[in-house]
Amino acid sequence: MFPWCLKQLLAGKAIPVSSLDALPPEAGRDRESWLHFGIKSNLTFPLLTAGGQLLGGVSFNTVRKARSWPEEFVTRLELVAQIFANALARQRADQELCESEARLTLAADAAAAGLWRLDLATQCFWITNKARELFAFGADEVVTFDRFLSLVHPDDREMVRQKVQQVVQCKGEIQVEYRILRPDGRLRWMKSQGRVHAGSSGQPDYLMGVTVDITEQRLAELEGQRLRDNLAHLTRVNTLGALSGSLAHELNQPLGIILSNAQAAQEMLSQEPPDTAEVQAILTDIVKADRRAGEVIERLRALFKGGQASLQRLSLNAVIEEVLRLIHAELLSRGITVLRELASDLPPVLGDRVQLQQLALNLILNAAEAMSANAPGTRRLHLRTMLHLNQVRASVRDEGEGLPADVERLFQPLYTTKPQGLGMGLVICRSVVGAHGGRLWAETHPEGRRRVPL
Amino acid sequence: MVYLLDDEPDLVKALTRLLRAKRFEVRAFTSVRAFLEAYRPEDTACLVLDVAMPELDGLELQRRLTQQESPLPIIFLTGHGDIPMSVRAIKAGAADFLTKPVDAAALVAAVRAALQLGETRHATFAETRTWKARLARLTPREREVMEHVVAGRLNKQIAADLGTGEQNIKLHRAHVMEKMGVESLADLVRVAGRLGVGRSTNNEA
Repeated sequence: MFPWCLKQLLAGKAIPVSSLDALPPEAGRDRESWLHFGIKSNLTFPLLTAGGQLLGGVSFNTVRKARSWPEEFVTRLELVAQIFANALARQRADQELCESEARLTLAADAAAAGLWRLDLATQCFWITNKARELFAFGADEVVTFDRFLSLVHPDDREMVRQKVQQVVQCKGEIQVEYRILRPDGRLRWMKSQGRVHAGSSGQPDYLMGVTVDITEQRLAELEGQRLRDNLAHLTRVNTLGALSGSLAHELNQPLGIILSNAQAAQEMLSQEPPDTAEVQAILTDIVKADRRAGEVIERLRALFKGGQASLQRLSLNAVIEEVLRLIHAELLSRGITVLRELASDLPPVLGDRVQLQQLALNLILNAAEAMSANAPGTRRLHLRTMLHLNQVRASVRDEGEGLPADVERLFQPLYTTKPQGLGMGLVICRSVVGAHGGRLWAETHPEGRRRVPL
Repeated sequence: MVYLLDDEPDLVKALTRLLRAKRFEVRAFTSVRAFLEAYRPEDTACLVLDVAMPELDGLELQRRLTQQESPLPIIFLTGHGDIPMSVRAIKAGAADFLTKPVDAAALVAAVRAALQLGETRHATFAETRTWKARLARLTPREREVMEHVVAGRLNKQIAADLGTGEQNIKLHRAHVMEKMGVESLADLVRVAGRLGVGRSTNNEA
């Protein structure tokens, strides 16, 4: 209807029209429109935002007679147009803000996340209803930072306070996990993330962020950990079963020594004159054998106890020797010859003794079982440690029937080649090595070979 | 004499004490090699042997001793009550099979029985050795005649087989009886059976 006018407005120009006759020829269409509405003269201003964006136009018209638009008049009306434009812009911005806030709250609610803003000057929170719900704050309660801290579990309180202090100082981002004790006595795990916003002066103004309840996730993690521990325990028990013959032997040996010595002593004491010197020597040996039995039990307990890993510097060779002592009888009864090739210049490694022993035990027993079908005399177990490119390497090699073509399958859960196997041994072995920052792999030599660098 | 062989020095020591206190003569070893070097088959003895020796399986040692025609009775000691192994050991001629920890009374009884068995075997082995020595003194012809005789053939048949006269066979036969030191044909057949003569033609030196 007003193509020429629109062009002028888009160019940001005011359009004073005193008489339709004064319009330029290209404004023919606009002229027709004005004639149609019975307009005699017109003054139109563009409505511009502060950024110069055109919101629309405002027009002043005369219909009874044409009139001129003196300079002073135009200036005043332009001011009115500007006020009008600003009001319009603010209204739109408010509306947009409202909408975006609503969208954000909706999204936050859907994610069960509570939004909050901590005013650093007043130490008061603005929080969404969801956030009030998470922390069990009253609907109209004024929530201060101290009030929030009072809900945090005493063991986590100092940590949270310090983290908030740090983030305010460095104006950065915060991410913190902590426990809260709700008034109803329930303990919940929370995760809060936020960012410091600085005011115009560059001073930190407020900390704004989002909090979610991660209790379920935490419980699931703990459950997962518990299951893994159980599985590791189960595997240990399984190994223990496999070792039981060997253990009976280990304990039987000192018991036999004690029995025979004691019976020899009885015999000697019944003779005239009794050989007290020999009986004395016998008693010394009995004590020694008894200690030996005690050590077997102690080693076992150490080997099969669960619990937290404790890292210490230790010799991998010593770990291997320790395990060999424990299963000496087992290997003997299986007719296995152990060939050691342990490097003497091995630096100590940082590791958990018990876990590494279990690892060595598992790998050695695996190797032993892999050779059960071998002819006697060909059941050779090669144990080797070496320093390779600043890494400590250990390998357990058997001369059994070899590995499947796809060796990685060995490390998949529930994969087993043994009738009584759980298929978890190597999975756990690999996780143990991984936890020590190492790598466990298998390769087929002419014979099977398993290696552990740490 | 009781030979004692176990890789566990402390156990060997304890068992040695026990057996000596029971007035047995004991020689103890912790390795198969040391035992084999010291062992003299002519002694009347028995062996108390741990089944699981590191260098050599106890059953394997038993097999080797049997091969050498050793009269040594073996009492096996085992850590586990391994039934299949004990069956194999007994079948291969073990004197006894005891589980560790071994009770003094059971061990002493087993050792006494084994020494008795050793003595008997020794006598038998000595007898066999005597007969073998006598057999070795026969001429090839006499040996041939002996094989025919114990096979139950008559002088006439033997003479025909060997292409000679019956008188000659009678003479050879008398020499055989004399050299072997037997009084009757029945005795000759028994000795021949022990030595394996006549079962196949030329398996004995």
